[in-house]
Amino acid sequence: MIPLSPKRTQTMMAIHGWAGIPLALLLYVVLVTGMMAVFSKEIGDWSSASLGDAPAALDPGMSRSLVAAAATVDPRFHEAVAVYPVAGDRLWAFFHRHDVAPDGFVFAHGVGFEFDRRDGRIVERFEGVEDDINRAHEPRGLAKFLVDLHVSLHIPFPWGMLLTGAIGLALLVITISGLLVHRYLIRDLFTLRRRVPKLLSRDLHAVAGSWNLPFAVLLAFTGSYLSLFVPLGQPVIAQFGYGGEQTPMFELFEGAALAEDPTPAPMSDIDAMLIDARSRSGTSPDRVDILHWGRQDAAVLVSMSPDDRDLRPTRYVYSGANGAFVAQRPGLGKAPSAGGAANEFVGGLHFGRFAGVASKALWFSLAFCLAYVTLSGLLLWTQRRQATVLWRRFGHVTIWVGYGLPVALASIALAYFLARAAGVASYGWMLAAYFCAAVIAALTCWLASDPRQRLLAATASLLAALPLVRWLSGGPSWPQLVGSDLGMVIAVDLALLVGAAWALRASRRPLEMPEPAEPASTVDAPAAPG
Amino acid sequence: MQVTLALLAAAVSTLLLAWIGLRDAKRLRVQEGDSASRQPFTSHRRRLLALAAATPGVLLLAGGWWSSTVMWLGGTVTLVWLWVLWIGRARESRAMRRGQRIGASG
Repeated sequence: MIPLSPKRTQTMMAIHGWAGIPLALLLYVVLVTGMMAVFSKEIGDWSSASLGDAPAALDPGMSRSLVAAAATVDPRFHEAVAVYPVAGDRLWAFFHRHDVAPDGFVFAHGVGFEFDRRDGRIVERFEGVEDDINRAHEPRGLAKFLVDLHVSLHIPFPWGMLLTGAIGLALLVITISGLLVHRYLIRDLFTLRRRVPKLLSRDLHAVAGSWNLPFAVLLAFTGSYLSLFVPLGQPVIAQFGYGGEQTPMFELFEGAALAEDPTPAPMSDIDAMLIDARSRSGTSPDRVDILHWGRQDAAVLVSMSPDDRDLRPTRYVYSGANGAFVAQRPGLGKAPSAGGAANEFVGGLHFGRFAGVASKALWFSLAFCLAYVTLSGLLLWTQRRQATVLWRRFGHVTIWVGYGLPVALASIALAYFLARAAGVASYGWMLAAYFCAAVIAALTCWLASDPRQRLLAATASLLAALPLVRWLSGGPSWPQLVGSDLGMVIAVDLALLVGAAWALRASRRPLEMPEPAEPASTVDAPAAPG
Repeated sequence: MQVTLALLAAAVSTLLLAWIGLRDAKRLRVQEGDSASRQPFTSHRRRLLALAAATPGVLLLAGGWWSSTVMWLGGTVTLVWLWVLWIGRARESRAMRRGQRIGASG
């Protein structure tokens, strides 16, 4: 028991509620889309599976594709090259330079290529600002849309990231105040009072919140750090450390590997560097970054996936001019430091990708639990204040967002496949589908007697339809997938069908109705998951 | 290897925590009523079992298995949360069936 006077408990309860209420609906959106974002690679592979016998994106053979592409690119975009696999394990390279926008933020501008992994030829070429190019590259459209919704709620930079950062901080405040408000945290860890419906809703919320407490703190801290570092942290560091200049700050972060020498020099074999990196780390490469392509001081940074024990990637630096191994590079700066290690841990802990599908599945469940705690907390809060018209209406808005969001997310996927089948840019269709679904969900909440049931049934129908629509819109069928190394596509199809069955079951299940507060409650607490 | 270690550690911790939950005084009182046949654990025993449940994670951490430690923690809290939901429902439906039988025979 955490000893607090009744007055302090009341204050904490007010902080717990009022810190959450203004941002809780957005927090719920960030959490649910975060669940999806954990599987962004799998969603990309599923939505844009590319069949055919081909080596992995970063397997030998990549070097000649890059050299051929570099010859077609304006040399001013040779400043940096980012190479990594995207949806369906397609090989993607972005030759770019960094420019400073009028608002003072640095952005990347250049030329992006998608290569055919079988023969190394260029499949698509884009030129422009990085964000626009990534959006225009259709194969990763769906995954990117969902990730952007999680990262910035599709609000332009820097406002979207500032908002999600604030949401992360709010989650931190809610978690800590919730811990203090829950006086018998340990004693109540196993208790669900099912015989008292009025208390059951509260117990379900408290038990889920209590068990998930460590991860609520972890995800809130790492999420707000990642959201706020670029739009807030970097300008502040640049202002106080470098008189507002961002370039020397980035040089410190990136730990410029080789002494500057702009003499032109052909690039050495990058495939050989990747083979060496594999033998050093025993893991596979995640991405390659090349600085100063075609110069004597060209540096190739190879990021390898974490080894069995670690959460952090291993990075090796090679000389681009002669292919020699230079050093193992820390995550930040030139020399290993506690700050650099902490910075790397933040990423590993937030994304949960360090152990493949197993850790992703775990992070998905933890985010699901947090989303449940958020939704049930909102419904409890509004339920207790049913006497006030404003709170009653807010309860309806909570149902709209809580049960309408899954409908909107499934609609985005549907729109993506339909747009690709129609041969048009998918981004506009996905955005339109998202807003249309939101409007239809709002109308359902306004007109239907049991909007929760209808929205869950709509979610079930859309999820069940997605595997079929994927296939009908040109995706590979199950018999085609069985023989390939794309078993993940079948797994995602099955997961969607399981999700559809779960939503259908939840829509038909009678709610565990709490006793109506005075006057009669119109908002129902959510049923326990499962 | 990291997943196997994390699974084993989480299984051990979940079992120990579930055992604490099974003999938790408040849970027994509200879910099984006064007629509960099991005696609740003493505070001393609870602490001992909780310490034992934390041991696999501490061992993983001491061995430098960072990724397995994080997965152990995540896996344990998720599994125990699901177990609490399941045991609450299972006990309740058993109690209801017992009540119905008594009602029918009476």
